[in-house]
Amino acid sequence: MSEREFEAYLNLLARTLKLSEAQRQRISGELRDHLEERLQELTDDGIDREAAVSAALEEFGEANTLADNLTNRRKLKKMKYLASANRPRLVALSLVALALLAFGVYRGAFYTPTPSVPNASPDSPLASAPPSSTETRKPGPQALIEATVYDADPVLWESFRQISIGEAEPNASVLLLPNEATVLPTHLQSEASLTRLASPNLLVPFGESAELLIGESEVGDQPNHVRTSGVGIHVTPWWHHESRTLEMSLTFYAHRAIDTETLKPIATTTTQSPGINLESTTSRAWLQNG
Amino acid sequence: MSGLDDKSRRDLFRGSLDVMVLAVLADGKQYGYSIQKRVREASGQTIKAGSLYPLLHRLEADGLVKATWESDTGRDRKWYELTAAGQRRLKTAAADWQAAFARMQALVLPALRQVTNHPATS
Repeated sequence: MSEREFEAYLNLLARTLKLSEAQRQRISGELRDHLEERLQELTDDGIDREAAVSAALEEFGEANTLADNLTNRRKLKKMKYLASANRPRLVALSLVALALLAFGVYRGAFYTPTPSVPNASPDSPLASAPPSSTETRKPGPQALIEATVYDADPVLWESFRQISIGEAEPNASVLLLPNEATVLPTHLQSEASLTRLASPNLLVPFGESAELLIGESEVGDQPNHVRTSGVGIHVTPWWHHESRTLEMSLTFYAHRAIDTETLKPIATTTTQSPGINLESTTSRAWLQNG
Repeated sequence: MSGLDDKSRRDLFRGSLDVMVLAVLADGKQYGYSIQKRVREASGQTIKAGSLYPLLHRLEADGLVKATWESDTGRDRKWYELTAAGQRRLKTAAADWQAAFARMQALVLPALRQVTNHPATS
């Protein structure tokens, strides 16, 4: 028989899971099986039953966190399916974006060193002014729509106020046009010290991740490794279909080592840099069609 | 004394979880708890249950493992097994590991000989 504490934990987990009833029951059943077997093992080892129940539950961590992780995995599956189903249109959208870029429609979004405003608030004129690049965008089936950031801290606001979503294909991808210069720490503001390590514009399929890097790079300790320092942002966009809301998971980092063959990070360090608070390494910005 | 600090060791372990789970499943189908035990026995490290299940569900979503429910033992239990794609991923990951290990050996062993034969005097 399950312990009362197990049931309380699983009920809390099930309530937090944003999944169907059948999916919730299956997940609860799987975790209950694990908890019961773990409890048996611990009590067989001579551990007091009450302590064993606590230990077994502790290994699962907070119910809310676990529910979030389990839900995100399922969202990822759905998003991957959507991305895969829309691959031809995704390719088409990419080509359209590239064509627009080639014709300079997004001229204003390309990087030019500008004075840093790391502490600008969303109410500041700079933050609230529409990006100049949008004025030249043409409407049409592949027209891009603006997203409005809310509930984001000033740094995120300044970094991502130029996010655009492909209106024709909202399930497919998000085009990021970061206003990168505004998140630079003071000591990296000179043009000479900046090296663009990635394209200024990224087409990121929902549910997948991309890196926005700015700063200095140097050859790493091992072949094919590059170390970057400055400010980096690891971004994962999610599209919420019903609410037509874009959720962005953003992770800031100060130093990162990258394998240049696989482009995968090998090590990441988040440290305090002047002008930007990297203590809070993961943030979420919610955006809605504006 | 270990040369790696706790964080580095944890990072190394965390970065290898996918391949460890796939490797455990290469022996045949397992359920969550038995996977956790096998990894602990083999590596001396424990995958927290709170990390294991999201990982298993991701591998399932990626088509690398498939899951079935059975009640042979008297209670419903979810079993995982490798798919063909999972086997391919395991082969690739194992090759990557071997290559990385060989590169590290090529770098570290001569250095080890060097510091052993010519220890610093101060």
